[in-house]
Amino acid sequence: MFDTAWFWCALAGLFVALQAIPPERPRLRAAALGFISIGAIALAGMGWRALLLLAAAVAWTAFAAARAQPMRGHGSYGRALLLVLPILLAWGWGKIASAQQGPLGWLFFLGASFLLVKAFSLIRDRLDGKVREADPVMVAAYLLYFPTYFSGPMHDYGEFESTLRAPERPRGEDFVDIVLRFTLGLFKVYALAALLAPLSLDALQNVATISPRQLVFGALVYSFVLYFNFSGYTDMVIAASRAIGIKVPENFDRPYLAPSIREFWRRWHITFSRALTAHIFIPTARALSRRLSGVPLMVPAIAYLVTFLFAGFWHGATLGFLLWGLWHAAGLIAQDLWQRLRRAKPGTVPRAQTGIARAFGIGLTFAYVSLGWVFFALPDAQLLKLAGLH
Amino acid sequence: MSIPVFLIVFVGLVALGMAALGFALATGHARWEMLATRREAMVALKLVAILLLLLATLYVTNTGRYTGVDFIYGRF
Repeated sequence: MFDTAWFWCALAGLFVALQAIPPERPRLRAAALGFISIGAIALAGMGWRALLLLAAAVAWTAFAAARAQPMRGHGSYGRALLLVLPILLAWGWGKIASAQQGPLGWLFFLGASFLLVKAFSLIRDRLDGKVREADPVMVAAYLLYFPTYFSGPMHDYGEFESTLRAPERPRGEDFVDIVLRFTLGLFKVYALAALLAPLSLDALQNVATISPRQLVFGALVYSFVLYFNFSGYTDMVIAASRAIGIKVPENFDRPYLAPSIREFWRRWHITFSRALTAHIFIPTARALSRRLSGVPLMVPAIAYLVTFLFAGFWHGATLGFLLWGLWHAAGLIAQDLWQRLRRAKPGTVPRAQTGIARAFGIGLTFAYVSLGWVFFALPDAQLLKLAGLH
Repeated sequence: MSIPVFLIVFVGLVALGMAALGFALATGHARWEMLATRREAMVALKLVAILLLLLATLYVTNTGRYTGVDFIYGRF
Protein backbone atom coordinates (compact mmCIF):
# COMPACT_ATOMS: atom_id res chain seq x y z
CA MET A 1 0.00 0.00 0.00
CA PHE A 2 2.75 2.47 0.96
CA ASP A 3 4.71 1.84 -2.23
CA THR A 4 1.82 2.86 -4.49
CA ALA A 5 1.11 6.22 -6.09
CA TRP A 6 -2.59 6.09 -5.21
CA PHE A 7 -1.89 5.99 -1.48
CA TRP A 8 0.29 9.09 -1.51
CA CYS A 9 -2.04 10.98 -3.87
CA ALA A 10 -5.02 10.16 -1.64
CA LEU A 11 -3.09 11.09 1.51
CA ALA A 12 -1.99 14.41 -0.03
CA GLY A 13 -5.59 15.09 -1.08
CA LEU A 14 -6.80 14.32 2.41
CA PHE A 15 -4.12 16.55 3.95
CA VAL A 16 -5.18 19.49 1.79
CA ALA A 17 -8.89 18.85 2.42
CA LEU A 18 -8.52 18.53 6.20
CA GLN A 19 -6.32 21.62 6.37
CA ALA A 20 -8.80 23.62 4.32
CA ILE A 21 -11.95 22.57 6.18
CA PRO A 22 -12.05 23.89 9.78
CA PRO A 23 -12.76 21.50 12.70
CA GLU A 24 -16.00 23.43 13.35
CA ARG A 25 -17.39 21.70 10.27
CA PRO A 26 -16.85 18.01 11.18
CA ARG A 27 -19.53 16.70 8.79
CA LEU A 28 -17.82 18.35 5.84
CA ARG A 29 -14.47 16.97 6.98
CA ALA A 30 -16.04 13.51 7.30
CA ALA A 31 -17.58 13.81 3.83
CA ALA A 32 -14.22 14.75 2.29
CA LEU A 33 -12.56 11.89 4.13
CA GLY A 34 -15.24 9.42 2.99
CA PHE A 35 -15.07 10.46 -0.67
CA ILE A 36 -11.28 10.41 -0.85
CA SER A 37 -11.21 7.07 0.99
CA ILE A 38 -13.62 5.34 -1.35
CA GLY A 39 -11.58 6.68 -4.30
CA ALA A 40 -8.40 5.32 -2.72
CA ILE A 41 -10.01 1.92 -2.04
CA ALA A 42 -11.19 1.77 -5.67
CA LEU A 43 -7.69 2.65 -6.91
CA ALA A 44 -6.24 -0.08 -4.68
CA GLY A 45 -7.76 -2.55 -7.12
CA MET A 46 -11.17 -3.37 -5.68
CA GLY A 47 -13.53 -4.50 -8.44
CA TRP A 48 -16.77 -2.65 -9.14
CA ARG A 49 -18.93 -5.46 -7.73
CA ALA A 50 -17.01 -5.39 -4.45
CA LEU A 51 -17.22 -1.59 -4.41
CA LEU A 52 -20.99 -1.73 -4.84
CA LEU A 53 -21.17 -4.28 -2.03
CA LEU A 54 -18.99 -2.04 0.14
CA ALA A 55 -21.13 1.03 -0.59
CA ALA A 56 -24.27 -0.95 0.29
CA ALA A 57 -22.68 -2.25 3.52
CA VAL A 58 -21.64 1.29 4.54
CA ALA A 59 -25.07 2.74 3.69
CA TRP A 60 -26.82 -0.01 5.64
CA THR A 61 -24.58 0.43 8.70
CA ALA A 62 -25.04 4.21 8.63
CA PHE A 63 -28.81 3.76 8.39
CA ALA A 64 -28.96 1.10 11.12
CA ALA A 65 -26.69 3.07 13.48
CA ALA A 66 -28.66 6.29 12.96
CA ARG A 67 -32.00 4.57 13.62
CA ALA A 68 -30.87 2.40 16.54
CA GLN A 69 -32.26 3.44 19.91
CA PRO A 70 -30.66 2.57 23.28
CA MET A 71 -32.14 -0.60 24.75
CA ARG A 72 -32.62 -1.76 28.31
CA GLY A 73 -31.47 -5.21 29.38
CA HIS A 74 -29.26 -7.67 27.51
CA GLY A 75 -31.01 -7.70 24.14
CA SER A 76 -28.53 -5.39 22.39
CA TYR A 77 -26.16 -8.17 21.39
CA GLY A 78 -28.74 -10.18 19.48
CA ARG A 79 -30.23 -7.05 17.91
CA ALA A 80 -26.79 -5.83 16.76
CA LEU A 81 -26.04 -9.25 15.30
CA LEU A 82 -29.34 -9.20 13.46
CA LEU A 83 -28.60 -5.74 12.08
CA VAL A 84 -25.19 -6.73 10.68
CA LEU A 85 -26.58 -9.98 9.27
CA PRO A 86 -27.27 -8.46 5.82
CA ILE A 87 -23.60 -7.35 5.62
CA LEU A 88 -22.44 -10.74 6.78
CA LEU A 89 -24.54 -12.55 4.20
CA ALA A 90 -23.60 -10.19 1.39
CA TRP A 91 -19.92 -10.45 2.28
CA GLY A 92 -20.18 -14.22 2.53
CA TRP A 93 -21.87 -14.40 -0.85
CA GLY A 94 -19.18 -12.16 -2.35
CA LYS A 95 -16.41 -14.27 -0.88
CA ILE A 96 -17.93 -17.60 -1.88
CA ALA A 97 -18.53 -16.26 -5.36
CA SER A 98 -14.97 -15.00 -5.75
CA ALA A 99 -12.65 -17.05 -3.54
CA GLN A 100 -11.50 -20.62 -3.78
CA GLN A 101 -13.53 -22.99 -1.67
CA GLY A 102 -11.81 -25.52 0.57
CA PRO A 103 -13.48 -28.07 2.83
CA LEU A 104 -14.26 -25.25 5.27
CA GLY A 105 -15.38 -22.83 2.56
CA TRP A 106 -18.86 -22.54 4.02
CA LEU A 107 -17.32 -20.67 6.95
CA PHE A 108 -15.93 -17.93 4.71
CA PHE A 109 -18.57 -15.54 5.98
CA LEU A 110 -16.85 -15.34 9.36
CA GLY A 111 -13.69 -13.91 7.84
CA ALA A 112 -15.56 -10.85 6.73
CA SER A 113 -13.20 -8.00 7.56
CA PHE A 114 -12.36 -5.10 9.78
CA LEU A 115 -15.44 -3.38 8.39
CA LEU A 116 -17.75 -6.00 9.85
CA VAL A 117 -16.17 -5.74 13.31
CA LYS A 118 -16.42 -1.95 13.20
CA ALA A 119 -20.03 -2.04 12.00
CA PHE A 120 -21.04 -4.51 14.70
CA SER A 121 -19.28 -2.66 17.52
CA LEU A 122 -20.79 0.68 16.44
CA ILE A 123 -24.35 -0.68 16.29
CA ARG A 124 -23.93 -2.48 19.60
CA ASP A 125 -22.51 0.65 21.25
CA ARG A 126 -25.50 2.61 19.92
CA LEU A 127 -27.95 0.06 21.33
CA ASP A 128 -26.11 0.07 24.66
CA GLY A 129 -26.25 3.86 24.76
CA LYS A 130 -22.44 4.24 24.70
CA VAL A 131 -22.63 6.21 21.44
CA ARG A 132 -25.25 8.91 21.76
CA GLU A 133 -25.44 9.97 18.15
CA ALA A 134 -24.29 8.36 14.93
CA ASP A 135 -24.27 10.81 12.06
CA PRO A 136 -24.46 8.86 8.75
CA VAL A 137 -21.69 10.91 7.10
CA MET A 138 -19.41 10.43 10.09
CA VAL A 139 -20.21 6.70 10.16
CA ALA A 140 -19.30 6.37 6.46
CA ALA A 141 -15.97 8.14 7.08
CA TYR A 142 -15.36 5.92 10.11
CA LEU A 143 -15.91 2.72 8.15
CA LEU A 144 -13.98 3.81 5.06
CA TYR A 145 -10.95 5.70 6.42
CA PHE A 146 -8.50 4.24 3.93
CA PRO A 147 -5.13 4.04 5.78
CA THR A 148 -6.74 1.69 8.33
CA TYR A 149 -9.25 0.06 5.99
CA PHE A 150 -7.16 -2.94 4.91
CA SER A 151 -5.26 -4.01 8.03
CA GLY A 152 -6.26 -1.74 10.91
CA PRO A 153 -5.66 -0.55 13.58
CA MET A 154 -9.38 -0.30 14.30
CA HIS A 155 -10.71 2.86 15.91
CA ASP A 156 -13.82 2.57 17.94
CA TYR A 157 -16.42 5.07 16.77
CA GLY A 158 -15.98 7.45 19.70
CA GLU A 159 -12.22 7.68 19.14
CA PHE A 160 -12.67 8.39 15.45
CA GLU A 161 -15.35 11.00 15.93
CA SER A 162 -13.36 12.89 18.56
CA THR A 163 -10.19 12.92 16.44
CA LEU A 164 -12.14 14.29 13.49
CA ARG A 165 -13.88 16.94 15.62
CA ALA A 166 -10.73 17.97 17.50
CA PRO A 167 -7.77 17.19 15.22
CA GLU A 168 -4.21 17.38 16.51
CA ARG A 169 -2.38 19.69 14.15
CA PRO A 170 1.30 18.71 14.06
CA ARG A 171 3.85 21.46 13.82
CA GLY A 172 7.62 21.90 13.83
CA GLU A 173 9.33 19.11 15.72
CA ASP A 174 6.23 16.92 15.53
CA PHE A 175 7.03 16.34 11.88
CA VAL A 176 10.47 14.96 12.82
CA ASP A 177 8.73 12.43 15.10
CA ILE A 178 6.23 11.61 12.36
CA VAL A 179 8.95 11.04 9.75
CA LEU A 180 11.00 8.99 12.23
CA ARG A 181 8.04 6.75 13.03
CA PHE A 182 7.22 6.33 9.35
CA THR A 183 10.85 5.57 8.47
CA LEU A 184 11.06 3.07 11.31
CA GLY A 185 7.99 1.33 9.90
CA LEU A 186 9.52 1.38 6.44
CA PHE A 187 12.71 -0.14 7.82
CA LYS A 188 10.84 -2.85 9.73
CA VAL A 189 8.78 -3.90 6.72
CA TYR A 190 11.14 -3.46 3.79
CA ALA A 191 14.47 -4.21 5.44
CA LEU A 192 14.13 -6.34 8.59
CA ALA A 193 11.14 -8.46 7.59
CA ALA A 194 12.45 -8.79 4.02
CA LEU A 195 15.85 -9.92 5.24
CA LEU A 196 14.47 -12.45 7.69
CA ALA A 197 11.60 -13.81 5.57
CA PRO A 198 13.76 -16.25 3.54
CA LEU A 199 14.92 -17.83 6.82
CA SER A 200 11.41 -18.17 8.26
CA LEU A 201 8.35 -20.38 7.76
CA ASP A 202 7.78 -18.46 4.51
CA ALA A 203 10.60 -20.51 3.01
CA LEU A 204 8.95 -23.79 4.05
CA GLN A 205 5.62 -23.24 2.31
CA ASN A 206 6.30 -25.61 -0.58
CA VAL A 207 9.31 -27.73 0.35
CA ALA A 208 9.02 -31.52 0.12
CA THR A 209 10.25 -32.36 3.64
CA ILE A 210 10.68 -30.31 6.80
CA SER A 211 12.92 -31.42 9.64
CA PRO A 212 11.89 -30.57 13.26
CA ARG A 213 14.94 -28.28 13.51
CA GLN A 214 13.95 -26.38 10.37
CA LEU A 215 10.41 -26.06 11.67
CA VAL A 216 11.38 -24.68 15.09
CA PHE A 217 14.00 -22.30 13.65
CA GLY A 218 11.60 -21.16 10.92
CA ALA A 219 8.87 -20.54 13.50
CA LEU A 220 11.14 -18.49 15.77
CA VAL A 221 12.31 -16.33 12.86
CA TYR A 222 8.77 -16.05 11.51
CA SER A 223 7.70 -14.51 14.85
CA PHE A 224 9.95 -11.57 14.07
CA VAL A 225 9.01 -11.44 10.38
CA LEU A 226 5.33 -11.17 11.24
CA TYR A 227 5.96 -8.67 14.03
CA PHE A 228 8.18 -6.44 11.88
CA ASN A 229 5.70 -6.62 9.01
CA PHE A 230 2.58 -5.92 11.00
CA SER A 231 3.97 -3.43 13.51
CA GLY A 232 5.95 -1.69 10.76
CA TYR A 233 2.78 -1.35 8.71
CA THR A 234 1.03 0.00 11.80
CA ASP A 235 3.85 2.49 12.45
CA MET A 236 3.41 3.83 8.93
CA VAL A 237 -0.38 4.07 9.26
CA ILE A 238 -0.13 5.88 12.61
CA ALA A 239 2.54 8.29 11.31
CA ALA A 240 0.73 9.03 8.03
CA SER A 241 -2.53 9.59 9.91
CA ARG A 242 -0.88 11.85 12.47
CA ALA A 243 0.50 13.98 9.63
CA ILE A 244 -3.06 14.75 8.55
CA GLY A 245 -4.30 15.22 12.12
CA ILE A 246 -6.07 11.86 12.58
CA LYS A 247 -5.10 10.04 15.76
CA VAL A 248 -4.98 6.25 15.29
CA PRO A 249 -4.84 3.92 18.33
CA GLU A 250 -1.70 1.88 18.99
CA ASN A 251 -1.81 -1.77 17.96
CA PHE A 252 1.36 -3.21 19.55
CA ASP A 253 3.09 -2.85 22.90
CA ARG A 254 6.26 -5.00 22.89
CA PRO A 255 4.23 -8.23 22.62
CA TYR A 256 7.19 -10.62 22.77
CA LEU A 257 8.09 -9.29 26.20
CA ALA A 258 4.75 -10.51 27.56
CA PRO A 259 5.25 -12.90 30.50
CA SER A 260 2.02 -14.83 29.80
CA ILE A 261 -0.34 -15.65 26.92
CA ARG A 262 -3.06 -13.45 28.39
CA GLU A 263 -0.63 -10.54 28.60
CA PHE A 264 0.50 -11.30 25.04
CA TRP A 265 -3.05 -10.73 23.79
CA ARG A 266 -3.12 -7.40 25.60
CA ARG A 267 -0.06 -6.33 23.62
CA TRP A 268 -0.55 -7.93 20.19
CA HIS A 269 -3.05 -6.52 17.67
CA ILE A 270 -4.50 -4.53 20.56
CA THR A 271 -7.48 -3.05 18.74
CA PHE A 272 -8.62 -6.47 17.48
CA SER A 273 -8.08 -8.04 20.91
CA ARG A 274 -10.18 -5.41 22.65
CA ALA A 275 -12.98 -6.00 20.10
CA LEU A 276 -12.74 -9.76 20.69
CA THR A 277 -12.87 -9.24 24.45
CA ALA A 278 -15.80 -6.83 24.35
CA HIS A 279 -17.92 -8.59 21.73
CA ILE A 280 -17.08 -12.30 22.02
CA PHE A 281 -15.32 -13.20 25.27
CA ILE A 282 -17.27 -11.14 27.81
CA PRO A 283 -20.76 -11.82 26.36
CA THR A 284 -19.97 -15.56 26.08
CA ALA A 285 -18.60 -15.74 29.63
CA ARG A 286 -21.59 -13.74 30.93
CA ALA A 287 -24.09 -16.02 29.19
CA LEU A 288 -22.31 -19.16 30.39
CA SER A 289 -21.91 -18.04 33.99
CA ARG A 290 -25.69 -18.04 34.35
CA ARG A 291 -26.01 -21.58 32.98
CA LEU A 292 -22.83 -23.15 34.40
CA SER A 293 -22.74 -21.60 37.85
CA GLY A 294 -21.85 -25.02 39.35
CA VAL A 295 -18.73 -25.48 37.22
CA PRO A 296 -16.95 -22.12 37.17
CA LEU A 297 -13.83 -23.64 35.56
CA MET A 298 -15.78 -24.34 32.40
CA VAL A 299 -16.90 -20.74 31.89
CA PRO A 300 -13.58 -19.13 30.87
CA ALA A 301 -12.50 -22.32 29.07
CA ILE A 302 -15.53 -22.31 26.75
CA ALA A 303 -15.34 -18.52 26.37
CA TYR A 304 -11.68 -18.76 25.29
CA LEU A 305 -12.52 -21.54 22.83
CA VAL A 306 -15.37 -19.58 21.25
CA THR A 307 -13.31 -16.37 21.11
CA PHE A 308 -10.25 -17.92 19.51
CA LEU A 309 -12.15 -20.13 17.11
CA PHE A 310 -13.74 -16.91 15.88
CA ALA A 311 -10.32 -15.20 15.79
CA GLY A 312 -8.95 -18.07 13.72
CA PHE A 313 -11.79 -18.07 11.20
CA TRP A 314 -11.70 -14.29 11.04
CA HIS A 315 -8.31 -14.64 9.38
CA GLY A 316 -9.63 -17.20 6.90
CA ALA A 317 -11.57 -20.45 6.78
CA THR A 318 -8.68 -22.90 6.72
CA LEU A 319 -7.61 -25.78 8.91
CA GLY A 320 -4.43 -23.87 9.81
CA PHE A 321 -6.28 -20.87 11.21
CA LEU A 322 -8.65 -23.19 13.10
CA LEU A 323 -5.67 -24.94 14.73
CA TRP A 324 -4.00 -21.61 15.46
CA GLY A 325 -7.15 -20.45 17.27
CA LEU A 326 -7.31 -23.71 19.22
CA TRP A 327 -3.61 -23.42 20.10
CA HIS A 328 -4.10 -20.02 21.70
CA ALA A 329 -7.33 -21.05 23.43
CA ALA A 330 -5.48 -24.07 24.88
CA GLY A 331 -2.67 -21.80 26.11
CA LEU A 332 -5.10 -19.45 27.80
CA ILE A 333 -7.07 -22.29 29.39
CA ALA A 334 -3.82 -23.82 30.70
CA GLN A 335 -2.75 -20.46 32.13
CA ASP A 336 -6.14 -20.03 33.78
CA LEU A 337 -5.97 -23.51 35.34
CA TRP A 338 -2.42 -22.91 36.55
CA GLN A 339 -3.37 -19.67 38.25
CA ARG A 340 -6.43 -21.23 39.88
CA LEU A 341 -4.34 -24.15 41.15
CA ARG A 342 -1.76 -21.77 42.63
CA ARG A 343 -4.44 -19.72 44.30
CA ALA A 344 -6.07 -22.88 45.69
CA LYS A 345 -2.83 -24.13 47.28
CA PRO A 346 -3.10 -23.65 51.08
CA GLY A 347 -0.69 -21.17 52.59
CA THR A 348 0.09 -19.48 49.27
CA VAL A 349 -0.03 -15.73 49.31
CA PRO A 350 -0.06 -13.77 46.08
CA ARG A 351 3.28 -12.10 45.50
CA ALA A 352 4.95 -10.11 42.79
CA GLN A 353 6.70 -12.13 40.10
CA THR A 354 10.44 -12.37 40.65
CA GLY A 355 12.88 -11.40 37.89
CA ILE A 356 13.76 -14.98 37.06
CA ALA A 357 10.12 -16.11 37.05
CA ARG A 358 9.26 -13.20 34.78
CA ALA A 359 12.14 -13.99 32.40
CA PHE A 360 11.04 -17.64 32.34
CA GLY A 361 7.47 -16.54 31.62
CA ILE A 362 8.62 -14.31 28.75
CA GLY A 363 10.69 -17.14 27.22
CA LEU A 364 7.90 -19.69 27.58
CA THR A 365 5.28 -17.33 26.14
CA PHE A 366 7.51 -16.44 23.19
CA ALA A 367 8.20 -20.13 22.46
CA TYR A 368 4.50 -21.00 22.69
CA VAL A 369 3.39 -18.11 20.48
CA SER A 370 6.18 -18.86 17.97
CA LEU A 371 5.15 -22.50 17.62
CA GLY A 372 1.58 -21.34 17.13
CA TRP A 373 2.67 -19.41 14.04
CA VAL A 374 3.35 -22.78 12.35
CA PHE A 375 -0.44 -23.25 12.01
CA PHE A 376 -0.86 -19.63 10.96
CA ALA A 377 1.83 -19.51 8.29
CA LEU A 378 1.96 -22.92 6.64
CA PRO A 379 -0.70 -23.94 4.10
CA ASP A 380 -3.11 -26.74 5.03
CA ALA A 381 -1.46 -29.24 2.67
CA GLN A 382 1.91 -28.67 4.36
CA LEU A 383 0.38 -29.06 7.84
CA LEU A 384 -1.27 -32.34 6.84
CA LYS A 385 2.06 -33.51 5.43
CA LEU A 386 3.76 -32.63 8.73
CA ALA A 387 1.16 -34.65 10.62
CA GLY A 388 1.75 -37.59 8.25
CA LEU A 389 -1.80 -37.38 6.90
CA HIS A 390 -1.00 -36.41 3.31
CA MET B 1 27.50 -8.93 1.84
CA SER B 2 25.48 -11.78 3.33
CA ILE B 3 22.38 -11.14 5.45
CA PRO B 4 23.88 -11.91 8.89
CA VAL B 5 27.05 -9.93 8.11
CA PHE B 6 25.00 -6.93 7.01
CA LEU B 7 22.91 -7.07 10.18
CA ILE B 8 25.96 -7.45 12.41
CA VAL B 9 27.78 -4.57 10.70
CA PHE B 10 24.72 -2.30 10.80
CA VAL B 11 23.76 -2.99 14.39
CA GLY B 12 27.45 -2.96 15.38
CA LEU B 13 28.01 0.47 13.86
CA VAL B 14 24.98 1.94 15.60
CA ALA B 15 25.99 0.35 18.92
CA LEU B 16 29.56 1.58 18.52
CA GLY B 17 28.38 5.13 17.85
CA MET B 18 26.08 5.06 20.87
CA ALA B 19 28.81 3.61 23.08
CA ALA B 20 31.29 6.28 21.94
CA LEU B 21 28.80 9.04 22.66
CA GLY B 22 27.94 7.52 26.06
CA PHE B 23 31.62 7.21 26.94
CA ALA B 24 32.35 10.80 25.91
CA LEU B 25 29.42 12.08 27.95
CA ALA B 26 30.31 9.94 30.98
CA THR B 27 33.98 10.95 31.05
CA GLY B 28 33.28 14.63 30.52
CA HIS B 29 34.88 14.78 27.08
CA ALA B 30 31.51 15.86 25.77
CA ARG B 31 28.59 17.63 27.41
CA TRP B 32 24.96 17.87 26.41
CA GLU B 33 25.42 21.64 26.41
CA MET B 34 27.96 21.25 23.60
CA LEU B 35 25.15 19.92 21.48
CA ALA B 36 23.26 23.18 21.97
CA THR B 37 20.21 22.27 24.04
CA ARG B 38 19.14 18.73 24.87
CA ARG B 39 15.97 19.20 22.87
CA GLU B 40 17.90 20.28 19.79
CA ALA B 41 20.31 17.39 20.29
CA MET B 42 17.36 14.98 20.33
CA VAL B 43 16.05 16.44 17.09
CA ALA B 44 19.51 16.09 15.55
CA LEU B 45 19.75 12.47 16.72
CA LYS B 46 16.31 11.73 15.29
CA LEU B 47 17.32 13.21 11.95
CA VAL B 48 20.46 11.06 11.92
CA ALA B 49 18.33 8.02 12.79
CA ILE B 50 15.96 8.81 9.92
CA LEU B 51 18.89 9.05 7.52
CA LEU B 52 20.40 5.77 8.74
CA LEU B 53 17.08 3.94 8.54
CA LEU B 54 16.44 5.24 5.05
CA LEU B 55 19.93 4.28 3.88
CA ALA B 56 19.60 0.79 5.35
CA THR B 57 16.16 0.30 3.79
CA LEU B 58 17.39 1.51 0.44
CA TYR B 59 20.40 -0.78 0.66
CA VAL B 60 18.29 -3.85 1.35
CA THR B 61 15.66 -3.10 -1.28
CA ASN B 62 18.31 -2.40 -3.91
CA THR B 63 20.37 -5.52 -3.42
CA GLY B 64 17.73 -7.83 -4.82
CA ARG B 65 16.59 -9.12 -1.46
CA TYR B 66 13.21 -7.49 -1.66
CA THR B 67 10.83 -10.41 -1.54
CA GLY B 68 7.47 -8.74 -1.91
CA VAL B 69 6.94 -8.43 1.78
CA ASP B 70 3.71 -6.50 1.79
CA PHE B 71 2.59 -9.63 3.53
CA ILE B 72 -0.16 -8.28 5.72
CA TYR B 73 -1.80 -6.47 2.85
CA GLY B 74 -1.62 -9.53 0.62
CA ARG B 75 -2.72 -11.98 3.23
CA PHE B 76 -5.75 -10.32 4.73
